[in-house]
Amino acid sequence: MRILVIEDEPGIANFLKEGLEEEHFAVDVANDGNNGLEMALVNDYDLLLIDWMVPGQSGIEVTRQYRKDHPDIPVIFLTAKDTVQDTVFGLESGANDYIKKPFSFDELLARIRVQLRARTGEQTELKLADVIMDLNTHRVFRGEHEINLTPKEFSLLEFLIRNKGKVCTRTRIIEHVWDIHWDADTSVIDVYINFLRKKLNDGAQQNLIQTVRGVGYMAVESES
Amino acid sequence: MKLSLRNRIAFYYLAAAGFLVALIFVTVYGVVHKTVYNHLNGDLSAEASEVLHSVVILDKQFIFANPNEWKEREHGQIEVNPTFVQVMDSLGNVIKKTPNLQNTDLTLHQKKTTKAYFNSELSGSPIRQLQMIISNQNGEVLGYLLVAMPLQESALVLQNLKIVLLVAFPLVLLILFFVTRSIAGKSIAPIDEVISTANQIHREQLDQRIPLPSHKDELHRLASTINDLLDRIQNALQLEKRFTSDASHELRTPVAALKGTLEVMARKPRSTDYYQEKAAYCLNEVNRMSRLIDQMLLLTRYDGSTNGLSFTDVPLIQQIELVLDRLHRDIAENEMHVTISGKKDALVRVDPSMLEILLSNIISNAVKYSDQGSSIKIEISNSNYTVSCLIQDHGIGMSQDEIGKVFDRFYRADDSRSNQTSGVGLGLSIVKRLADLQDIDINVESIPDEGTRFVMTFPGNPEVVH
Repeated sequence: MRILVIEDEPGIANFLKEGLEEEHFAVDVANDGNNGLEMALVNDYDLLLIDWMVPGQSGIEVTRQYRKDHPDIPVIFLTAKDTVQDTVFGLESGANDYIKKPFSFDELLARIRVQLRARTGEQTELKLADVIMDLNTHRVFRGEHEINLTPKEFSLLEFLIRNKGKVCTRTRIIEHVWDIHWDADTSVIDVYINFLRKKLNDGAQQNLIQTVRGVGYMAVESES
Repeated sequence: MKLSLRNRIAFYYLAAAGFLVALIFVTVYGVVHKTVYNHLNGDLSAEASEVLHSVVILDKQFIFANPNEWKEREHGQIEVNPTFVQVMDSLGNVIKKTPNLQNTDLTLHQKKTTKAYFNSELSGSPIRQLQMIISNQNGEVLGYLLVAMPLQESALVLQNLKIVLLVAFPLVLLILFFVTRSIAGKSIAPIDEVISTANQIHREQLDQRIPLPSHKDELHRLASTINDLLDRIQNALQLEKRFTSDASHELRTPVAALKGTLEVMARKPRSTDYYQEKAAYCLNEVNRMSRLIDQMLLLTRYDGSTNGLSFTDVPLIQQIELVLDRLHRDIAENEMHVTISGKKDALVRVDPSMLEILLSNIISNAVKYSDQGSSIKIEISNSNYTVSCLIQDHGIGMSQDEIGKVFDRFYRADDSRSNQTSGVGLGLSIVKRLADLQDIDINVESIPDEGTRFVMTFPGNPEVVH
């Protein structure tokens, strides 16, 4: 899951990036509205966190522009404005949710998850054959055995299972699992796929992640 | 007694009008009364002189020259406008009387003087009577001449007039009261309108105004005065509202950063380096907030009042050096160079501590927004009782648009360029306020990427050393 944060205050942007990355999100930060909108339109994000009052185009303006092409990507406003009118105005201009500064990080996290869940369906568990991913506790089981995954491996597996049966190109994987600083080199995916296969297949025979030669990878329920 | 303005106006008006009407009625009655009696008296007097003409006064007695006259018609009748004449001797015995007196006599009033008019009675009916003394050349009283006419008709006229006036008076008063009450009501109706509009105006709905009456009268002035007052209150409230919302935004942002940073830090155990880094960041943020709070207090403390300021003459150079001393470290860190030139002995009349804050804000801005190694020029000059001070930097400068907003509270020119500086956007609005309080004129010129010039002009002071 990849998130774009548009926030000009470095103190806030820093902890958001740090905290969200620790929660297995890929996070990009833009420090003004113009950059933010450009990044949002060029890259493929699963959620946008936008500060209302940023230099350049305001958060409202960015949301309006972004909504034209992306009606279904959730946008959450972060703002120090706190009147009812502001909240209503913010929500009416296209935001899915609105959180007032100063906010609790746990609350923000919960709201982000709600928005992502609303989009992908009410899932707290993902299943692929006998692999079960608990999205709340970040624990993964294959049958009875618990599998320990690193945050990056977890994100990669989550992305593949969410798109199971569909081919995921290297570019899409990079865009959703890694943040913007990784776009130079897609070979890192192959390394992580190898780690994942080793951990998942440990003791079991079925290969759940198939290579689609020259394109990318695909998660499958059963080997064909 | 508490009366409404409307009734009070009606009562005052009524009292004045009632007094005037009473005066007019009394005068009318008086004039009519006088005219009636004058007329009667004239008739009596004419009759008397006619009778006297026919009287020949001898030494000790008098005789009638033309006794036939007594038989004239008017003296014989009782009914239509009769004239009664009676002559009496000095002892009061009737000598001669007109036949219409029949068997009654006119009453002699002994005390009356030579010629007297008075009201009397003749067999129950009112009469107007003239009594004259008939005397010889020595002034000895020989007898009395009494002439009388009935008073009934005149008395009736006067009586009727009196009744009409007395009945009319309260009626007139009553009508006047209602008329004036309705006029007063009408003339203060616009005030009611002002009251009802003013009642609708409250804190949340300050944009309503009292409709101005079409005539430019006192009510127009009242309404426009209230409207002006509302304008000023609305402006002040808007400024206050903006200040509060700006201030809350400025405070919320660092609080949000602190809260978030600490929360993320507390989610799991971290390395010592991590803790140290975050602690330094948080401390920095807390310092910024504390500076912001200090400056906000400074702004509100001197909002619009010179109370608590003490003005003295101080050498401007002394204040500048004080500030440069305090900013010494920042200046050295940025490898900047400060030159001071001009009239170094110029005195200015200011509050020294306020001037210090003011100069400190301008100079620290100059340091903050300048490149490393650049220079700041400070020049003092004076002319015609004013002292000017120029502070020029070679920093990032501002566009015309930005200069216009630079004194606004919480305004920071182009955030993307000033992100790394620690200002909160209050410095120059403090400068503006302190300058206003001390009558210092501040002029800003700036060219982007070339630098900014602040020119302060201090108020005229005859004691300034030239």
